[in-house]
Amino acid sequence: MRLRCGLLSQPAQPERRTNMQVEWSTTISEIPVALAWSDDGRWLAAGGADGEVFVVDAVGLCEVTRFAAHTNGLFQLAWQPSGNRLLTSGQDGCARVWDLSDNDARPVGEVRFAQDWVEHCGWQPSGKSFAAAAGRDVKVLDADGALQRDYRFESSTVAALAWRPQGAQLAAAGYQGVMLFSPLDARQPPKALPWNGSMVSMAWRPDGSVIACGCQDSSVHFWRLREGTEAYMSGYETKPRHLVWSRDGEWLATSGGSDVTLWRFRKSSPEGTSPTNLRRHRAPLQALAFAPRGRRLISGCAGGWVCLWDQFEDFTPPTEALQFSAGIEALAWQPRATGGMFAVGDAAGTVQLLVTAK
Amino acid sequence: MKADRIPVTVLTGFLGSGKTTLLNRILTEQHGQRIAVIENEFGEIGVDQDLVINADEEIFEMNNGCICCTVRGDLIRILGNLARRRDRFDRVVLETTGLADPGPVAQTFFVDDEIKSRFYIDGIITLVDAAHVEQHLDDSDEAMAQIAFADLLVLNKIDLVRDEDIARLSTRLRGINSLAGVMQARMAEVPIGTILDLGGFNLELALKRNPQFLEPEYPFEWGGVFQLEAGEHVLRLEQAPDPSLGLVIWPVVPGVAPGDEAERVFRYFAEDSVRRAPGDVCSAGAVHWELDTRQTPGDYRLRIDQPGHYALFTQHLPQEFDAQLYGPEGWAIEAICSQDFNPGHEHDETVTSVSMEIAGDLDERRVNQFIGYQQRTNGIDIFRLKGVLSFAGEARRIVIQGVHMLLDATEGDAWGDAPRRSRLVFIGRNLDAPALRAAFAACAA
Repeated sequence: MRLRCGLLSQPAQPERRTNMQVEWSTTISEIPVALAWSDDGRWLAAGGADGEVFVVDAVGLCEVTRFAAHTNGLFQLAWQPSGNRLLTSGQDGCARVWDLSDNDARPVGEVRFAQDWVEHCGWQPSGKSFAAAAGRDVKVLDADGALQRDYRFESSTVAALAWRPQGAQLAAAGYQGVMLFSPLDARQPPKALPWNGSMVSMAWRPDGSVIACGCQDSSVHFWRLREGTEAYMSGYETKPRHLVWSRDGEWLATSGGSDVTLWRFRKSSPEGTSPTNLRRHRAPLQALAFAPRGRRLISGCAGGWVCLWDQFEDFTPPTEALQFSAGIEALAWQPRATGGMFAVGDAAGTVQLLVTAK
Repeated sequence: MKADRIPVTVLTGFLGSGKTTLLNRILTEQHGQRIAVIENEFGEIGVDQDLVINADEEIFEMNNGCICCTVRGDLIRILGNLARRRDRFDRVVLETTGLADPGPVAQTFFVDDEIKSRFYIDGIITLVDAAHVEQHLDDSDEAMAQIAFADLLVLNKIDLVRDEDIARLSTRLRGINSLAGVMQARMAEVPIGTILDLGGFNLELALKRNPQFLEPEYPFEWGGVFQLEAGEHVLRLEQAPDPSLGLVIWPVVPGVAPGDEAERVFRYFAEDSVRRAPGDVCSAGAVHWELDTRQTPGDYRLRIDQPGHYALFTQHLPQEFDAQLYGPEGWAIEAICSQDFNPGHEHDETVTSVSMEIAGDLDERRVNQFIGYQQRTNGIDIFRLKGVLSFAGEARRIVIQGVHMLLDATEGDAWGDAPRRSRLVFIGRNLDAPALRAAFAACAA
């Protein structure tokens, strides 16, 4: 099934004055390339492009610790679900597990790859194991870094990695599609979701029913896993690097230009429908994040604007908008928060905690 | 945005041609610059650098199967990540594998917006192993493509071959790729300053550095304008390195420079020649004379019916023949002005360069049709396409760059008082030079 969408481009109406407040702010020497919250919303970890990681107490609003996680640079970090461990991966051929129970980072596990760039890592939702990928190699390890499974993504370097929400299946995306691995069941062969294109990003719908990927040819491709159907949306200005699902799985927000493009997922849509375009940014989008509850979305662009969206309709202005001194590199919404706190990292090396009144 | 884009230097060449040696030279001699190295070739020689990223070449074809959409996934990924640093690099050097096709590398910088906005290809430098390249050229499409794509050819290891081999090789390389400079080296010893900031994909820069760049190859080496009386003149050739000498003479208006007439001479030289032995008469007009020079010295008679200005073009340089023109009274006559032209080369390659030049303006619509048609129908065979064009009604130079089926056009400097002319060069496989010339000529406004 194929569908095309035309991205609408109409001038937006001016938005209201902002109510977003900066609660806390710090500056690091490099661009914060990754932000991750602990499950309980208490701690925020931020990783700089130079490999330094620092941890902030979002309740006490103070920095807890700062440490060099990787030489050369950092790619990703992830907080262990319901745990005290932080997983990081970087440009020194390693993914590392750090224990932060004593407010100090203690290395407890390490996995080494043949390739230097360990671009992807992520915890299994149970928090008992994690996956990391470098080049074509994908490894699954226990929380202490002991190897459980060793996979290979044959067609290219892995471009994205995602665990099935509430599950134990692992998806790796790259050139020519997606591979699904089942680390808990050694007899289960990897399942391929082939597509003749190059995936650049991937997001698994919260109920596990859909895998969506941004593609190099400026399209989004998705698979409905139960039905075994697939579809693609084209018409983007650039490749959609950022894909996020709303918590209820109804909305898929994508970058791929300066508009936030929202696809509404129901039983038989978005197949055959047009997306909603949220228009306010003038520069390419570089970060998207859905709030942990309700229907709220934040978007950040290379022009330094962060917009908060509550209404997902064409030509509706953002609820709030705020400009930062440099391009937005990362956004992360605090989990389980009622106060509406989120973290912003910009290209000037500033990491800020913002709250917004609902 | 454009100003702070980071230059990328691409090193290609077969295994053993000296890429890693040259890379290490760049790194040691450019102390002031922070250079990130992307290595596809995991050679025996180590690279001494903090930031070396080893990566496999990953060629991504898009689902429409179009060759122009073939890009290098490893570059997109690595450059995309390097761009996300405040502590920027001054330069990126990519060392490709010996068998790499430079096409997808170049196309990545045309096709991917993210890469295009932050990086540009400064130049493709192809290292050529003087001792082995001829064998490679004869049995490898990759070697041919690497030479055809180059902005600079480094003929390396010349200490291992004879001088006459170097000369023959240089000629052969120029025949394949007339746009690239050829630099000779032992142990990849080349002045680093001259191989960085090549401006290979920035024609304006390249033209400023070398005004002869993009000049077409002419079937003649010399042209002069003479003021002649009516009567019989004599052209005396004292010696002859070649068995014949092509010649054209025709009346021109006063004030014309030889370069203004070059386009017309192309056509005359393309005509079948009329042979003349010593003592025979030649006349002024649209005739391609071929002087038989097997017996020299020799006098060739030149009949001029009307006094006035005449342009005389010769296939080779007059000094090679020790040539002199004498008037009806027997006085020696010198040219009012003269010019040497970039000689063409004998081509027996499947991959060649076709350089073309037209004085005056072109019709934009016709040019678009012409180039569009060429890229659609022969895009796979066109490796590089470069041009500086003058469009009617357009104050600025239009600078074009093409790779296979992709084309990028930008506005260059204003013409101002400079004489308007358009230059266009194709480098490709099985190019039909006469057809290209005719089609380009038809684009004149």
